[in-house]
Order: sequence, then structure tokens, then C-alpha cells
Amino acid sequence: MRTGSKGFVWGLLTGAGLAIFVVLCALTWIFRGGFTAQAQPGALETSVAKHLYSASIPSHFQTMPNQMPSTPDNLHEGMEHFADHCASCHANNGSGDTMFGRGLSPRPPDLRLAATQSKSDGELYYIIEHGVRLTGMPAFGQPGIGHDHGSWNLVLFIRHLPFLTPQEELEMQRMNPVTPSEMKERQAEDDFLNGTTSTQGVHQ
Amino acid sequence: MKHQILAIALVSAIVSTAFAHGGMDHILGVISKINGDIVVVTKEGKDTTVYLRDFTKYELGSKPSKRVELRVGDRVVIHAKRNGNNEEAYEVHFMHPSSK
Repeated sequence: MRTGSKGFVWGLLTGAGLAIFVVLCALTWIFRGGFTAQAQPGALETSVAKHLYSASIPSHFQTMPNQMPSTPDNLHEGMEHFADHCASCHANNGSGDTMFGRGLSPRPPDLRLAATQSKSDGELYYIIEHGVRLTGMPAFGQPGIGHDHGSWNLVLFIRHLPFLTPQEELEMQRMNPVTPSEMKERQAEDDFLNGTTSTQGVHQ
Repeated sequence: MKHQILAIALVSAIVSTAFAHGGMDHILGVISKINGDIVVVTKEGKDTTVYLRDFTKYELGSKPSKRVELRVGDRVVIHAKRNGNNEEAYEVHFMHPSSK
């Protein structure tokens, strides 16, 4: 066999061997629970995904300022919206420390930290409207609809999260979604605290 | 289409049931003892020991409060989560006997 064709065959075999190795690694990863949400993505995967996502945001969003003025009314509307739609995963204070947030992979970011706060208003708006594929972040926007004032107010509130007061957090608890059984339970607990009922009949 | 609606309804029901309690134990009773990070809640003669943590939030009536406000004799509703053998308090809602 000539040297050139021998090298070609070796190259082919090495390539095939490498491909088989990669496939075996992938299969091992998959069947050892690689798709469960209990494991968190590694630093490299997170970094690559974040950079690619940032790069995918159209440039005019990256420099776009908030389209809503920062007034107390708009901020409060953003707070109500956040408590109702976002807090289940992100928590009222933006920490992401909730039952759903802890169970997601990747976990929701702590919105109070620089990784989120350093993004432009337009980037935050884009993420709210378009979501993040393969994460728990849904797209709240609808194609063909113009600017959503509610999402811009959410951006105002996200900017306020690092300065959220305990009073505001408490106010938000009253805005969180409540099921009928939870409402009944809350009422029973309030009655107990106020001394209008004993512990009997109250779920523990 | 019917199957899709049924699946969505089923998932929604499961999610809302889980959210109702948020995986927390709700401990009701009267504080019978406070010792550092440990609070003993008594209900119908039965004691439950709960550990207060740095992340625990306090609410007196409907206002944010602090741990130092807790007193023996207060009525409490504690939302706690079991960590090993310990109940760790996430939220402590309480009312002084005099506030009734």
C-alpha cells in the first residue's frame, strides 16, 4: 500500500473511532440521567449558551431603552405582574429560590445580581417576550403584536428588585396566585392567629 | 385536540396542587419555649420543635417583623420544611396574645 493511501485509511479509522467514542459518551450521559432536571449545566455549557443567546438578540434591542416611563404606577403594575406571572419560579424577591425554581435546570438566575442587572432594558424585554429555549423561561410575547407595555413595566420592576423592601415583598405575597384550597387554608390560619378559632379543624 | 386539553388540564391540576403547599409543613400552635434558634410550638399538648434560620421571614399580624419580637405565648403559623430530622422555618406568622 502506498504511503498516501495508508495515511488516508488511518485517518478514516481514527475519525470513525473518535465518532464512536463521542457517541458512546453521549449515550452514557443520556442513560445516566443526562436529561433529568436534577443536574445543573456545567460552567462551559452555561457560558456558551449565555453568549450565544446574547449574540442572538437583535442589535436594536441591545441598545433599546425602556419604552415606559419610570413612574410609581408603572412600577407597581410591574410588581403586580411579576408577583402573578413570574414569582412562582423567580420568587417575589427575584432570587429564584422557590419550589419550582429549585427544580429547574438550569435554575432561574438571581435577577438582583449583575449578570441580569448589567443587561440593557431592551435585552431584558426581549428575553421576557421571546423566552429562552430549553429552559423553564417561556415566551410571553405574541408574534405580530407590537410593544407590550406590561413587559416594559416588568423590566422597570426587575431594575427595582435589588432595592425591594420587606414591605413590598409582603405586599407581593398577597398578589401571588392562590388556589381555592390554599385560600381556604390561609383563611383558617388567619382565623387561628386572630384567636377566632382553635387549632382544631385547621390543617397542619 | 381533546387529548391535548385533557393533558394540559391534568398538568395544571398537578402543578396547582403542588403549589398549594409549596412542599411546606404548616405548623400551628402556641409558642411554649424559645431557646436560641429553637422554638417549641405546642398544639393540644403535642410539642413540635422548629429551627429558625437566617432565611426565616417573620410577620406579626400583617406587618413584616423580626425574630426578637417572638415571645412565649404567641400564636404562630410556621411554614417549615423538613431538612433531615429538623423542621426549618421559612415563614413565621405570629400574633401576641394581647393583640387579639
